[in-house]
Amino acid sequence: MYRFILKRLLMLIPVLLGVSFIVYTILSFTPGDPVQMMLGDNYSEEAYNALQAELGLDDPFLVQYGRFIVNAVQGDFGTSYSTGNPVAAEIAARLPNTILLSACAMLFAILIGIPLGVISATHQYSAVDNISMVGALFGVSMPNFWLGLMLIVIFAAGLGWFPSSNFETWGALVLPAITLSANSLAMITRMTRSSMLETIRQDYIRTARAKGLKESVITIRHALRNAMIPIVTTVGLQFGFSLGGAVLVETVFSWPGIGRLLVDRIGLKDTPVVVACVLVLATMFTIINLCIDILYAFLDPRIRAQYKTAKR
Amino acid sequence: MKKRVFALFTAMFLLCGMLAGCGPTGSSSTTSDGAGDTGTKDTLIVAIPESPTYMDPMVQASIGTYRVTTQMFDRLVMMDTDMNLVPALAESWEVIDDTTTVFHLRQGVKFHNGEEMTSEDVKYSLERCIANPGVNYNYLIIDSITCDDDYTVTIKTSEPFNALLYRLSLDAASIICKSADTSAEEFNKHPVGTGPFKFVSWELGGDVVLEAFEDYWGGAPAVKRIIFRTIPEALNRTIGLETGEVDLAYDLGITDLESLAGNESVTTLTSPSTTVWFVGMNVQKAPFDNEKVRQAVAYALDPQGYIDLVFSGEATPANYTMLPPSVDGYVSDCSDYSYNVEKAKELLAEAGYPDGFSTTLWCSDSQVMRDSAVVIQEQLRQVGINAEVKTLENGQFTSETGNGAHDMFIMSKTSIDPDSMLRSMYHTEALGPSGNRCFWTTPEVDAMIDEASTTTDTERAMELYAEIQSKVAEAAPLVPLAVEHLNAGMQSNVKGFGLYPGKSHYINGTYFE
Repeated sequence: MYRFILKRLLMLIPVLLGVSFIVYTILSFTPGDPVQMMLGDNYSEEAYNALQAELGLDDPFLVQYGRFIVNAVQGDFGTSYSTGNPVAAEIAARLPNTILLSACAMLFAILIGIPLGVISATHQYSAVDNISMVGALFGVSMPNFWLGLMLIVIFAAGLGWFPSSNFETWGALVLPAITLSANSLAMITRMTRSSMLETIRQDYIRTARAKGLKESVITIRHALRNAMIPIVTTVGLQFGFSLGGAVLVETVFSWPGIGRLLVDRIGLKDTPVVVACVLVLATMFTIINLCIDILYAFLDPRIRAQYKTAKR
Repeated sequence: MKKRVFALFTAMFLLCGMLAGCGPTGSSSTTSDGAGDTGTKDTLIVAIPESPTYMDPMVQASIGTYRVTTQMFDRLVMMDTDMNLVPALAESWEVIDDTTTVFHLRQGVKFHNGEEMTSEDVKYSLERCIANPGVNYNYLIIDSITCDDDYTVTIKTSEPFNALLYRLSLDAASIICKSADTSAEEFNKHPVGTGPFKFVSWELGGDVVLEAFEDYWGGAPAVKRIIFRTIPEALNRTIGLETGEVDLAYDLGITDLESLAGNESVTTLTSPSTTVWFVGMNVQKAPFDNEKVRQAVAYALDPQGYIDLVFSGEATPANYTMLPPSVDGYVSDCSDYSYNVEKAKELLAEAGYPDGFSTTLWCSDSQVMRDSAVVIQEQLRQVGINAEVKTLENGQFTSETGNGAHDMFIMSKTSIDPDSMLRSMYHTEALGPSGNRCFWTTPEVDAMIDEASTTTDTERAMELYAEIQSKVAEAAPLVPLAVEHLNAGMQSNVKGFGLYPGKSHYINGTYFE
């Protein structure tokens, strides 16, 4: 088991190298000059050259990338081109906000999505099933920035129940978290329903019922547990996607997280911050996937057995 | 199995614990003083579209930064909302000769740390500004700064230059506390000025908090606390006003202004800025090397139609000059152009293009630019000019138009003094990336711009500026279309706030009713 985890963590290295290389390359070869952006539209040749040399942007691309990686491995992501702050500090100030938002969104999606999916499956073609499936279709097809704006217009501007942007209060978390969770909630509900439908037709469920077990015990202990693997997979993937979705939601709700930082700094060609943001998001995505794989072992003894044989 | 379920719950429980640990950055106390009781309201929450990048005004010329720093730092002279120069830290000044100006400083002015401001601080601040490549381009003309005594400073320029006072009124020329900058503490994190508000805190990505400076030389401000909150989406700033979450919001969307018009609890202000939008032509390339073609373009464009479509009517026609009306030297009648399709066709025929021609119209990738391009393309089509719109990413747009790769282009330019505007648009010095992207110059206009900036005779300078404006309007390397409007919205109990054409908006003087 530990060896498995270690192996997966080691696999992070090529993934992060690849991701950083791609992002760094894209930023370096797309038009736009960070030095020019820092100096505005009125500057002298000397000022330009001096700043370019100071940032090391006069070196060849591979030298720049190499230097970035060597420093990054030592934990130094450099300083932001646009603000002069250490990149690590810029990210550290915003990362907790993004984690908070994504986690609340996921918690919301899980707590609503799984029970809803289970009910939909056990009461197939009932009103609850039909409504929740239409709702899920709605949730999947809705662009989340639009949903966010609608929620702001209705619940912040119209009813005044929640603030639209003030990030200081817990109430401010409600609208962005709902917005961010919409897609995941829909996916989780649908996946729970289909997985449950498959499971409740199995022979052992009929056996359990024949034994005279209570229906709730059958549903939760016998059916849901066996239906969990695809659900957990979906949750994991959605958690990862929600970090990406946060980019839009954070912009709409003025949420000072890493997604908004990323968007702001792409516009300013602030390469060190952008690459570091993407690396952080990629790392989190990978770690969440790893956690999901480990969770499999808890849920399914057959998979646990596989991990054990892999040890040898 | 029970064990595993238990493990799962434990994991979830731990996750919840983690979440609680990383709650919103502010404590509940910050909330309460924001939405405080109506009786004792003295905290002003200001919604700004972009975060400041520095608390130090001398690192980078950026509106986002200046909107905050201008509240903390004074300059020797400042501009009021009508763009008149008014004494600030300098009580008076005298022009000794062509290149020398003596400033008499206000006495007894205190910095936020309690120290008194003297000529040493002024010298130190201005020299610091000149040494900084991010902001010094307006100040390289300054040759020396000397302290005659504690309250007298002499500034010499390397050549005669009459726009010095304007330049000294800009935020980059803020007077900072010398001892605060030379101390061990990083100035950007502990800014000390003489302004009406002093720095309290600034969280990365979060609010900037300023507090009234009770010993301000101009009297203690009525507002006791300012919170600058970054809200990037224009719609959210409007909603913030509607819900009362913010007291004052800068740069509202033009369509939102209309919807706020019917709202009694919100007041909106608009006024012309000093940003002028124009269509430029690269005179190094045919057919724009022909003056008649350029004049035809000037007749073909309909400024009011352009303003109605792109700015929903919220802009002022530019009267075919690059100087905005609030800037000294502006003349409203520098040319006799007007929207006239027939005249444009006539001129094109005279120039040898009776059936028009095809060209490219370059713009960068922003909403106003894209809208402008479509409108201008259509207006040009009416006279037979077929312009293909080329949209470029902003950095590429500025560098390629600076290199002269373009035919026609759309751009805007902001300036508060006639010299910097006309020089960067029409002078040989500014060819290419420094501003003159039409590549049109004549020795005559160069000489006139130089003379206007060096003469100490104000009347003569104004005459020259008027003459320059009509000369360049006739040659028409570019067609100025619209002066953009600035706006802000505020709760109707917020009084005394005025828009500064330079966009940084000075909050002192604002109060709650």
